[in-house]
Amino acid sequence: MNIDLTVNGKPVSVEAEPLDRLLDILRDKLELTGTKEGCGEGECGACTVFMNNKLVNSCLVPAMHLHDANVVTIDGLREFDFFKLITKAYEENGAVQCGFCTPGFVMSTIDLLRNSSGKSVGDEEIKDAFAGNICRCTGYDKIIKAVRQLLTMDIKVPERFYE
Amino acid sequence: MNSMQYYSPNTLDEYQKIYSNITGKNILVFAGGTDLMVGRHELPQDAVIIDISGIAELKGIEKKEDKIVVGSCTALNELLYSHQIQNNIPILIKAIKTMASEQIRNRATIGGNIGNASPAGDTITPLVVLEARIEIFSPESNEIRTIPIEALFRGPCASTLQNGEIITKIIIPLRKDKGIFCYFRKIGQRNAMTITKASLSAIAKYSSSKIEWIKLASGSVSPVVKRMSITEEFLKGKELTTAVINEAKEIIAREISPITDIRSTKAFRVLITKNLLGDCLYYLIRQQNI
Repeated sequence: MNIDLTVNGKPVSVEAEPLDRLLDILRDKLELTGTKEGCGEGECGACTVFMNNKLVNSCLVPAMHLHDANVVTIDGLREFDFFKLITKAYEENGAVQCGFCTPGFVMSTIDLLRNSSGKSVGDEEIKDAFAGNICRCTGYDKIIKAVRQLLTMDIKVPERFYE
Repeated sequence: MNSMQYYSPNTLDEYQKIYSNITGKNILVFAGGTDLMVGRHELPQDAVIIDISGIAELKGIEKKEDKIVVGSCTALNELLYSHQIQNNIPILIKAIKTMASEQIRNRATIGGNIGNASPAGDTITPLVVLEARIEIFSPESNEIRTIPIEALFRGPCASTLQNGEIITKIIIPLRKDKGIFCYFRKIGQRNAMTITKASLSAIAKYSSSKIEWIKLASGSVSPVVKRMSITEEFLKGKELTTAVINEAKEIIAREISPITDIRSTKAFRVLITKNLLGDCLYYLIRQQNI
């Protein structure tokens, strides 16, 4: 089947089987390799992307659900100002160890920052936001520290990307 | 993977037509896909996918007089963020909060959680105590029927749905009495992203230091989720003394029939079910004293 969708603001057309994974379309067909495959079962969150402005595991989204979808991956967010602040906070707090889970954690961080404006967000809320991300190096404390720092910075994350 | 046959109806009517044109094949009804995508390589080669996630009639949350009607293809996060559900069915919010992750709750549907018929399905125990009804569409008779949710389950991960039947709506009655206590708690290997080893849902009415009524359902400790009616009956009209609570814990332990499996042991499941009931009843007393 042929699927027309938008990825990181650009219209693309891909040929895929109905149950092919968005993850493989991104990495193999579109060469957007910032998105990682960890478990392939929706547990680890390394493959997290935005689809129609909602956080999803790209390993669980079948091609047949992608008609006219708007997908935003970590590769499409690098140039935003908020992204540079997130990178800096992760670096300063030592929140990146092996780095494999980082793209997923960053996507969940973006979603948290976007949804938290005007709300008080404590460690419990941060942990809830990361329920779908696993760090096999177990560097959670440092990741949470980075996010705590980001939450004090009043960072503006757009409501929607590329729309 | 060979090319799979695939259909995406936009209405129930289209679903019915597609279904009746397929004969002798393995029909796979697909909604959010958070379970099915994981096992996609194990699907039969001749599987025909019918993706029902685009059927508008199966989506949304609607309040109607004395009930809330939820479309089966409504994502768990839509329920979690719905003011209707937050204001009227807090027990469902408590349960969904503990389920999976933001990423999965954006895709997984309530109908899928129910239709999988897992004894560990976390939307099931709240819906059982709420005495929800399930609306089912049959493409063979082209008719809709409604059954109590408990009648949907035949065994672990086996439902009574047959011949292309799909869950269309979940009908949750709203209670008229005010000040209803509700409780949901599950125990898993960890707090986040965990499958239930044992859980308890309860709603109750407590007045003049006595339990007027209580409805209880335990998850993951019987082949199917069901009401703990012997325990409910015992607690009815009672004052919650330590002796009554201890006796109730022994009764619920006899009412469940847990097994040992990859997730937990029978003994541990009995122990935590008793402790969950104790936790629930002590919490109920504390709530009344505020």
